[in-house]
Amino acid sequence: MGNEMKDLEKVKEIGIRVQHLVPDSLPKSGLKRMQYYVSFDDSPNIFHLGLSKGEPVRFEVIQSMVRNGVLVELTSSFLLPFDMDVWLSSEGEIVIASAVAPFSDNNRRVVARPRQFDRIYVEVEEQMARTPRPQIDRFTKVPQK
Amino acid sequence: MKDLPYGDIFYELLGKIHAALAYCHLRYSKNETLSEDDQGINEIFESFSKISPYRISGLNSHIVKGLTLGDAKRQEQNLYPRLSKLVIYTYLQAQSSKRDKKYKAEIIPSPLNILYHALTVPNEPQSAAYAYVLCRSMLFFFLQLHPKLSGSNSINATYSEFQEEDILRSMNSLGNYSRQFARWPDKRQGHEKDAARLNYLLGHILALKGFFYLWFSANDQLINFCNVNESNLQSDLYARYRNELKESEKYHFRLSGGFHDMPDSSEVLNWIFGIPIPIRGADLLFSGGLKRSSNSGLVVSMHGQPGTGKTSVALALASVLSPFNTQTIYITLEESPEDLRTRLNTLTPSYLKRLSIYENNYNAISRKANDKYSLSWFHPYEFRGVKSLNDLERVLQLVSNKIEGAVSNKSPEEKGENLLPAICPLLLVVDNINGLLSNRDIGANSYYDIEQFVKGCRDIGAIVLLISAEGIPERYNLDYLVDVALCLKQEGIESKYEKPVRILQLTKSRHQLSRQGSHVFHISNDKGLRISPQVPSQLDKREKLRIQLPSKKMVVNALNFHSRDGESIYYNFLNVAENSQILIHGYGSSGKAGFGLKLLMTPIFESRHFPKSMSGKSIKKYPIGNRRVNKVMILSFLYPDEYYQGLYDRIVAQFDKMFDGYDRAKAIMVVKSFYPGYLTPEDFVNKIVRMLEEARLEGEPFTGILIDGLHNVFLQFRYLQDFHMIWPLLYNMLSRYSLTVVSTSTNFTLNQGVSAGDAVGNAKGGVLPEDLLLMQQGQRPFLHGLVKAADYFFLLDEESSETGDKRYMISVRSSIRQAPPTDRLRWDRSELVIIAEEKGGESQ
Repeated sequence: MGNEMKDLEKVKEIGIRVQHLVPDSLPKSGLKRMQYYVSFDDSPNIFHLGLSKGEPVRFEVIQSMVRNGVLVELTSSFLLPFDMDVWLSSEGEIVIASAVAPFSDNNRRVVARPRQFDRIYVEVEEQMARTPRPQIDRFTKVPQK
Repeated sequence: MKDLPYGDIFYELLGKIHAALAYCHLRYSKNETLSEDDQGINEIFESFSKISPYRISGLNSHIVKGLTLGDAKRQEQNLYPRLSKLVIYTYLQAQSSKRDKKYKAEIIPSPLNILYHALTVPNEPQSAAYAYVLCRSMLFFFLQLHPKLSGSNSINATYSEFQEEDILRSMNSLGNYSRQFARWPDKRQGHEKDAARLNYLLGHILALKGFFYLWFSANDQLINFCNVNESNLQSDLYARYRNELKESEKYHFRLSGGFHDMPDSSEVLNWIFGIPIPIRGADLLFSGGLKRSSNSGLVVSMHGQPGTGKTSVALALASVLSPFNTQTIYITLEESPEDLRTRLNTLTPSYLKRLSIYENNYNAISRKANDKYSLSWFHPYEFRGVKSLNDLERVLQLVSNKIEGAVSNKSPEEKGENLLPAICPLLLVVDNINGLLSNRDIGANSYYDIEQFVKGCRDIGAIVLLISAEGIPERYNLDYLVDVALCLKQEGIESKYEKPVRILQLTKSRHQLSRQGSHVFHISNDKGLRISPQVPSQLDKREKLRIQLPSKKMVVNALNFHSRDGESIYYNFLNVAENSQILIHGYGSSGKAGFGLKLLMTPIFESRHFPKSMSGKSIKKYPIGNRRVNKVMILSFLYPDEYYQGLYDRIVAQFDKMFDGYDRAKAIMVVKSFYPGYLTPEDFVNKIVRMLEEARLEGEPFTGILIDGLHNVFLQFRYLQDFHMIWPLLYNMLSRYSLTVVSTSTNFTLNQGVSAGDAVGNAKGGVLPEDLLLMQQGQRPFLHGLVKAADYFFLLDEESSETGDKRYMISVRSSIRQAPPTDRLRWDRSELVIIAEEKGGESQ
């Protein structure tokens, strides 16, 4: 189930839901396009990266990615109109707006505001950038004569 | 990709030790004496080329010790290579455990055992952990075996993996053999190839720890084992430790003479699977090593009140683990990274900074000019935005994800090198989670959240150290969830008269055997973090050591050498056996310390040297032969070093006159004086035992110990007086080392009334019953000595002659193997000699 590709017409009919976003560092100004997983209302347990035609992903996998901090789960999902995309503002707000011209879009609206965690993500990024990353060797050399 | 600690010198040093053992064996089998001034053995180590950088830089002085001097200078300064001393001492000890001359087979200590001791810094026994990791990893490599790895870690396909069950099976088969002094493994065992290799791994690990000797059925086999080709070291050693020799050349293991039983199997598991922690006392605490959970993660919680040293313990752990190539990520929620770096420097023990294995930028070998102050293995991060446990979990995950990218994930095959998994690649410290736990709104899911958090930590696959304060609500207590729980405390801070003592409580260790309970620890000064484990557990560790009974062969003749008009004569009075425990009791200052010291300093001879027919003959320039070293430790509760130095000089001068070829350098005295106050029993025992073991590691063990002034513990050493059970424990422990123990004690008398005082409470002669009670308590150490440590019991009486001169008389109250003589001897406390009485001497 769900393995077949969604064709364009069908996608336009059914709702596209977004709840899982790939976290990213904040842009200094303007908007930054985000990566996200979508599900369709007819099969809520199957996810796709963006509107890609790639491998479908099961809900369990999404959950594990959320646990590992690879994905951010919003408290509730939102409907994404077909011609719009998800953007990240410099304040950490998540915005949906036109996929082509987000700034001139009058329908632009904020769907989520940053929680505590998002700030921490940025903080970790900054700290890691400031100090050199540890080089962890999982192996040691056996001495050779 | 880094080397194992000391990996650079492993092959060459092991090759040298093989050669030295072969040399020792050749000399010994020709009945020639072995001593440290032997040119041959020193030459073997002098050609040790790999250590030449250390000679220049001053690093690793424990290995280089004695090698830098020329031969002439060496004799002048009496400083012989530590390596030679170690080899000779260990070799001779193995030979002495042969029961008699008829024992045809040959036994030697494992060369790895000598290497292990050689790489250990003598006065820092915890540094054995580095040497141990090297030896263990090399055994894994030689035998192509490795403990099973989990998750994404993989090891070269040529290795076979094993688990705890396999080791236990091997231990079982061994148990039956070791009790009968039989060799192991024999041909019937280990038909499967892996099982045979596993047996050899276990055997080598136990031989490395000194529990086993290598057993050869004939001389040729031994020589063949020891002779390795210098140009072909690696493959030669590989073949020997794999035991891939011809069937007729194979060797086996035999229980060593120093132990009467095998170690506990759970301790062996800690040795093989655990991480040995290079902190003094931690070896005892975790019974040999800290074991991780099956997914190689471990969550440790540490809590304590402010100022108990939580951060210091964490930083000290980071610094001592760094030679294992352990990277430390320190996540702090309150301190600045700069401060942590500074503190880390002061908490790193100074001995570690002088080793080549410690990567420090001041270290001459690995100096980097550009980044002078940062250590490449320490990464502090400060996150002030963390407000809840969820946040923290995310932070840890994010950090560990970031690191994953940097991990060299290439499999060993791809690298084309011989690689072994690092023993502990990552230590993650979180300092601290107080606020996150205590400020939470209590909800139904809170406990579940904490559980999830701990699980998340464990999944990182590192040692995660969570620091928290005391006073977390009981229901959030992390101790239920974590693998190892530590609690730090400070006692005696309320009273201004007491010295505060830091206590480390180990309350839980989930995966392994450990010694739980309260242990004293210290963090001040440049020795770094060190733990003095509780007294019973210190004894516990030495339980398997064989108790050394008084020697039947070697004799201390101190009571047989008398003096008449400044001349020494021999008079057969009482032979005191070596390794016995002696108690000297007397009233007042009768020269007990001098007498005790003389007993211990007297050269030890075999009993056949002075037959009864010698009685009455004068001793002048008596040939002493190649005598053993007399090395005496003095535990003083009263006098400082100088007092004993005076006694020592006079005693040595006497022997110099008496014996031909007497060498002062072979009479060594070490004084440890304790000052009155708050010495804890743990520290007291720990100090003594440490000195004993340090001397063994130097290759020059103590032969005697003088505990001078048991009575001085009375009132002045509060904790020692309260915990009087220390004395039997101490005497028991000392009996497991080959030591002649002399204790001295004095009785107190307030005045004549004391002995007549009546028990009901009527004071007589101005003595109160309370005083009497106090006095009785003061007698406890003496009574313990009487019960436990009195193979010989001497009484020094004071006598006043008619002219008012005082004389001191020695009488023997009890003695072993011989009826105590009824005569008394006169002891001259100023000359430190026994005066021959008129009636004695020739007439006997």
